Amino acid sequence: MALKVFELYFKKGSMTTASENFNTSLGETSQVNDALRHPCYVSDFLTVGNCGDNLVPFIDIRKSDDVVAGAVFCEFKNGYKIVVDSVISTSEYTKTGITGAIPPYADRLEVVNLLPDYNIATGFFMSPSIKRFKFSIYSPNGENKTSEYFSSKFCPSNLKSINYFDFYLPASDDTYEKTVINLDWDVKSDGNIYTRAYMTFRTYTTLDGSQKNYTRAKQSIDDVKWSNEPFITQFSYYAHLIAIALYSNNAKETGKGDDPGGESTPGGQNGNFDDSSDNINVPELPTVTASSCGLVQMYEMNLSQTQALASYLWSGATEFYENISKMFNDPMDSIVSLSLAPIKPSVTAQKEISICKYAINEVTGFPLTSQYVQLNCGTVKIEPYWGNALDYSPYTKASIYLPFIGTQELNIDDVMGRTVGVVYNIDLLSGACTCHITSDGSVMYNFSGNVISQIPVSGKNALEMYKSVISAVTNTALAVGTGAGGVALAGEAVSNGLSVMGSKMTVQRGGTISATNGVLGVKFPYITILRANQSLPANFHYFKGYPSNISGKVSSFSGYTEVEYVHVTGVNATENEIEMIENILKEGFII
Amino acid sequence: MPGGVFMNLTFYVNHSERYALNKNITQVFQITGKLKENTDIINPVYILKKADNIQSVNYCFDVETGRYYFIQNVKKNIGGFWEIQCAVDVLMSFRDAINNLDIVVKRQENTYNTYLNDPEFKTYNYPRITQKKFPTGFTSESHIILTVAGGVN
Repeated sequence: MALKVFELYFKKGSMTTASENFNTSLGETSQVNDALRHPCYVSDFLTVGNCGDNLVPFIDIRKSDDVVAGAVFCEFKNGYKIVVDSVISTSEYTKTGITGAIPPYADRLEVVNLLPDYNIATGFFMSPSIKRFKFSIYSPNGENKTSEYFSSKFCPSNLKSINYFDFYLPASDDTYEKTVINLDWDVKSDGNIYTRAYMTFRTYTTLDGSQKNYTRAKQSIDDVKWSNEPFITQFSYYAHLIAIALYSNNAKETGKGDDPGGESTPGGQNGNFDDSSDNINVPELPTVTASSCGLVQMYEMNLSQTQALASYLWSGATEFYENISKMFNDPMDSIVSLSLAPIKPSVTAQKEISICKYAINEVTGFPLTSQYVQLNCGTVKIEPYWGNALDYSPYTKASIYLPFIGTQELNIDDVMGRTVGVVYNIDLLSGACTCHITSDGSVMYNFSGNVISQIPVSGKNALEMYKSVISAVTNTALAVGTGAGGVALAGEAVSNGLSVMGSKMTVQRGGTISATNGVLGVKFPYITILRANQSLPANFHYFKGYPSNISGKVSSFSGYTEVEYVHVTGVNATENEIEMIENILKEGFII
Repeated sequence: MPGGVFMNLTFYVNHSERYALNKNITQVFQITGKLKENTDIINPVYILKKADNIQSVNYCFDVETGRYYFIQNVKKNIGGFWEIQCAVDVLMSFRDAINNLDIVVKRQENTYNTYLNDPEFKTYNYPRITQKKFPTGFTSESHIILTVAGGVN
């Protein structure tokens, strides 16, 4: 197995690998192969440094407590980082000490012959504390590259399922301050990274707590067993670090504009051609009403009945006011509202009016069976006039006037050729109404308004009424014209018709006609249609034809023809003649 | 095609439009003519020794090339011969193959759909205005609604 001298440099320093015949004076380097055995030089992602440099300061995490989610484990020279995702476990490992007979030496070469037989891989562990944590790899611009690394060619098969590190950490910084960790690595023909790690120690902590120095004999390096199993040695993450270093050096940053978006793929034409539609019905009126709650009562009254009520109220009605005053500061608050509605409510038999359980003598009214009422205004069929594209947007426009709402724009495409219906759902208590506009029976538009006009029974009522009138006037848009401008349809020149209709002003035909204002307005809905007025010469189709977009053999058509698409094949003509044929077919010919 | 070659020519009167695929032609005479040197089959020039009715024809067919030609110009050269300048009519010459071509039609005289947008539309500057009234509306008379507190009858 080939041994290589290789240094992995981290942001703060370097981690050294060593093998036979390395030069300890300076970082002797040699050509190495990457995980796929492509030749690369150490300088590809390393800077030359000293073999035997201390590892621990170059890994940001120094002690067990540093291993927390988000902590940076280490940072590569190329800006890639390995970050702690989450701690999986913390455990203790069996401590095994080195005999105290080894004297402390700072220089490993001085004790070359002292320990010829000692195999460090089998015996000694630096720290009892083992943190297992999941990690993520981040590129310099913050992209998470973890998945990409594991699925890349740079991650050996023996590491693909190992998404965590077992990191052996000292209890404090001191123990490792001067420790050197050496690593050999190689890539076998099976593509797996094999490592062997060994350390020359400046200090270590024995089981008896005394500080010792220890250095590793050079010739004993080969006694350290190679392994491709990440967990046999305490430096299980080394193989990953090497593989990640190789990956990161080859990974391409995805910058803005760099991503081509992937290759085009065929597809489409998989629509189900199902344009079936659900019918949206006009909603039913609510069944729970204010009257059914027992707190209000509504009556329809005629003029004589309201006059009788007024006469009663202004006649003194001492008992009435005394009783009502027990419940309301202002007895007139017991009369919730008196209003004019433009639609006949559903009522029951006439009876004496009761206000807060107190019957008003000789004043009667017709109790409403429901505060809600529906008005179906019927339908209108909108037929095409020209029988061509001019019947639709943008050549034709439509608007609808709705009583107690005002004029609203309609999309002519929604109603052309269809039966348009108008249905009002009305709340006679508040006057609120919702107008549903149906197209072939399905609700297409919904507008709201107010249908009742309040009759003030107090100064406060009158103020509210005036406010609503003023508000409605304020909301009324003056006739404002806006120039729409010609709108070119995709792929087509702007037709004269389009440019004419498009350049005309769009004028709003009215504002909010609601509540009191609505009483004074038109009481039935109507649709206004604005159509382009076509100018068409006689027999125009003979001279220029009409748009077709139909395919077939030439012989299946007759008359003036302009071809959109054709492949001129099977014609025994010269190239120039074929070109002439295609041009004539497209410019127009007569069959 | 080398000059000096004698071609069998049939001369016609063409009654149809230039861009008609199948032309209505009336034969007038047949004659042998020489193809002028340095001309091609698309724009050939034929030299006729004698042609009594040459002024009455506007169309010809060359048996050797198998093509129909419009007569674009007739000249009398120095030698007293008629020079007939022609331009190939590719439609008539290859009408059988053209009839068999598959096409997608853009505009057509008889097979069309007017609901396709037509850039040829022209309109007057004044529109047509129509109003349609719905059959039912609100009553012109108002109904008085009194709402009072207390709903117990």
